[in-house]
Amino acid sequence: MNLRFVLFTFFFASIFMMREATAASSSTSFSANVPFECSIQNSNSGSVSMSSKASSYGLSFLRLTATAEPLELSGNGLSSVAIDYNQTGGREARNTILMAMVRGNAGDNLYTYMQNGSSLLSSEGGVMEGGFPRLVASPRPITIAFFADVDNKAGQTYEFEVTLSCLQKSE
Amino acid sequence: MNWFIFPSLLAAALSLNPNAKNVSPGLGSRIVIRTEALLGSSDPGEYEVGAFRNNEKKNVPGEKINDVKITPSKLFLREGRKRNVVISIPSDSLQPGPLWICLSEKPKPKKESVVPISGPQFNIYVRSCYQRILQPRKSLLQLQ
Repeated sequence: MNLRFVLFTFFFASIFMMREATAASSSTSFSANVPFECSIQNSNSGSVSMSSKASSYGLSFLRLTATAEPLELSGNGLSSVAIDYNQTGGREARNTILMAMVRGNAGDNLYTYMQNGSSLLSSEGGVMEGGFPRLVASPRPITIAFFADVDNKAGQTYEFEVTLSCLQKSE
Repeated sequence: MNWFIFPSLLAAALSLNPNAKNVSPGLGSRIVIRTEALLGSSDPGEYEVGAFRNNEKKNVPGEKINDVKITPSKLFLREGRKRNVVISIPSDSLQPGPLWICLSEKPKPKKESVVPISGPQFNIYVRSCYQRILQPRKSLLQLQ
């Protein structure tokens, strides 16, 4: 009787263990990170020429101005965008303004601008870090405009670099 | 003039986990970060990796760190093929805190123009950047 009971218990225990094993092997767990996605399509492979006009700083200054061909940005929730610039040629500019215009979801134009490299403002209000709207999967056109008030003196070649960085955000 | 027909598209990435940001200097004088570079929907081509200090005011990449060794020295990315990348950063000049690893398209050499360009101009560069946090160096007692 005891032997029957032991065999009976062993039989059901084996079935139970098999079911457990089957359940464990059929469940799938994912631990991979969502990939960081950010895509920038830049149509400005060459330099963007700047035109000059009168500056509000007076006759001894010129205002240089240019608008680049639109770039297209897309990404996922793990990315954000920072924009920065520096001067690589010519006497240091008296004043610089960098503006990036982004078409919002409602068709409105949001913009981000920096003046003299020190402040980063947004049309959404206040000083912001980044300042760009959240990137989405569908590409968004971004237009970059750059203005600089420089010395109105011959022999100076003014050059600037604008850098658009996709930043990987942490969770 | 091909660059007008084929605008550059930056969708290459480094496999740096956003949730494992801390890097610790070991016994040596350099921090070594191992990762993989892969192409997304970008055009195949040459890319470059660099390390940058943090711009403390904005928490974005700032000044480039000198004497960073990247292996391989020339990074060509092709579709569907990951490349191992080793970044070796000198830690002597760095303070504990954020730093950035950036992947960018290698700038194309300027083409000679028939008409010399002498007027004012600006260039646009694009890159993708990943933040790491440099931890303070552990003492020899802590390493044991």
